[in-house]
Amino acid sequence: MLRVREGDSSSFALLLSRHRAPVVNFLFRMVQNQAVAEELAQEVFLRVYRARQTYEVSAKFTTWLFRIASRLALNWLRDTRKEKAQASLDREVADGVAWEVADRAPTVEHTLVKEARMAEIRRAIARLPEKQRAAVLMHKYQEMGYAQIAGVLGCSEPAIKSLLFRAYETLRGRLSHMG
Amino acid sequence: MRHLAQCVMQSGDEAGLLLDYCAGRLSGEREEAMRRHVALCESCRQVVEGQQSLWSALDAWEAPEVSAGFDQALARRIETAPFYQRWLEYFSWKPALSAVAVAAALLAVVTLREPAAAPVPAEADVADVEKLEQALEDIEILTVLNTAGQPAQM
Ligand SMILES: [Zn+2]
Repeated sequence: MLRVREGDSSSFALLLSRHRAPVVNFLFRMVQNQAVAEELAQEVFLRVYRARQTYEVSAKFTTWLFRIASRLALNWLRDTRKEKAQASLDREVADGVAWEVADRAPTVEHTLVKEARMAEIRRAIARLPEKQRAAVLMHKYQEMGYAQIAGVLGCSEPAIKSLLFRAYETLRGRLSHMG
Repeated sequence: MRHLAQCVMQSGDEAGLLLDYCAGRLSGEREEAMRRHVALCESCRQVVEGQQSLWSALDAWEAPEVSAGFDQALARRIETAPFYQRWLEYFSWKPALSAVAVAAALLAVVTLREPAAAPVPAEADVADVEKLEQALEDIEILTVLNTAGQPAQM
């Protein structure tokens, strides 16, 4: 990011090409809606673009990037919940099997089973407390280490370790029958 | 699942190590030590088995591809930022911008700010300024892309 500011060996375009998919994918799994995820990701990169002169050299860029992304996602989830849409998200995820299968032509049993599993996974993740959800997604899908997740979520590293352990414990309980 | 008393390896820093072991993110001595512990500890063995099957279940959850129009939509949002903000950004971001380009940009700004002498508002001027801005930005991006190479910090 420092380099972007100095304009010598990196660029906003390059940052975008490197981080676009990870940020959108993370946001997708946070909010479980691709259109919303992309909208939030645009906001993330807009902020990156605008903040490129004031960026602190000491902080790691990816940590900073995911801090913005997490905040936006958590705000969106809170606003959405305020609008009582969380309940409908839960319903949507629960009903996911029905509508997703109805949406698509193949009716093979295999597809049904797969969709059912996916819906269960999405629901299990969606039911995690928001911070746990963010931590699990960054740990599992972005392959971030504890220190970095702690940096993103503004917690201590030991706190993140036990938060993650609890989150996975919950998920193992919820999805144990799938193994 | 039968629940066993929680082992000390399942709290604090050790819990982090155990998760790393489950994820195959440990190596060398630490991996070997954890392997030995898990072989002897029924409680941790349960965690490892459960965690590994959880992870393979989570692996199946793929995220969709990012829309093809993502960058263009972002560019539009950047372009619709307040006019003064964009110019401030250019001047502070690119101090080494060539004098010619700066002069041309300033000229364009002056032209835009010229009191409406002509009856027709300066729509064409606005379009020109935007084209110029776009061109400057393209140059900027191309220049820095050429020398880019440092991997993003993780
Ligand atoms: Zn143990």
